[in-house]
Amino acid sequence: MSDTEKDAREKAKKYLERLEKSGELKVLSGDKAGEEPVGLLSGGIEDELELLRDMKQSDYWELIKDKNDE
Amino acid sequence: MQSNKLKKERVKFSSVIEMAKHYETLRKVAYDMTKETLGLSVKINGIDLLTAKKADQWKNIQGESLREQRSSWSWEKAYESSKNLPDRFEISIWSGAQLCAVTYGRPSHHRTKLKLMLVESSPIKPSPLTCKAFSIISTCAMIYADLIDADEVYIIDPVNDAVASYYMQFGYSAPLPYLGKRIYMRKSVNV
Repeated sequence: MSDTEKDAREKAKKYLERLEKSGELKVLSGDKAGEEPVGLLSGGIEDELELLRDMKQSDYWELIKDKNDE
Repeated sequence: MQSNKLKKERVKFSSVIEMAKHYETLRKVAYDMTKETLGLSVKINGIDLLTAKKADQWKNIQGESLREQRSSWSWEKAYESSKNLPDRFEISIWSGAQLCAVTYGRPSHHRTKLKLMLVESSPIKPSPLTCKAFSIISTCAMIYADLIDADEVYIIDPVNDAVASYYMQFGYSAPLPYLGKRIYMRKSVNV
């Protein structure tokens, strides 16, 4: 297991503990949410996706690499 | 103690490949932890081309007892659009060989929001997940959002009131205007 995975697991575990303590985990379990609409469905920003369709990973990197310095 | 790689202000990658690997690891952890937490015997994976094609096949399934409305988008196109985004959120949920639900999302530019852009589950009744698709999607999205230090999860454009009302039972806000012509629902990641 890589350090990244180990750290991520630890962080997720702590987050889940907080969710449980706050009662949020029960909400997320959906046990009291009633019947799920068949098929769900949400979305529609396909035009936004289209903009990125032909972008190579290296192009995307050029676009976002500055975020490293935030 | 967390390593520097998980602290937003210190995230540094030397290449897009390293960045992609990092976020792939975070998605995998989110899948694993969701499964463990909800105690489900389903498979949770990313989305590859075959998965996207399989989701597109839902459009061709006909029957009186099936959900009528189908996605207006192509999952295959969404796959092509998203595969090069290292920090994307993606999830496919499987019961055996049966695809139950798929979702694509992406963080906002500054990664303060995780936007779930496309969500669809199988049109077949009864659901092989016994109505748990959104619970899995939402839990996984919250974990991934926390891992990337986002503070909110957005769901964009729920298709109708029934779906929006259902999302609200998971703590999402009522629908709000989004970029003028769309709507979104928000939920805080922080507890």
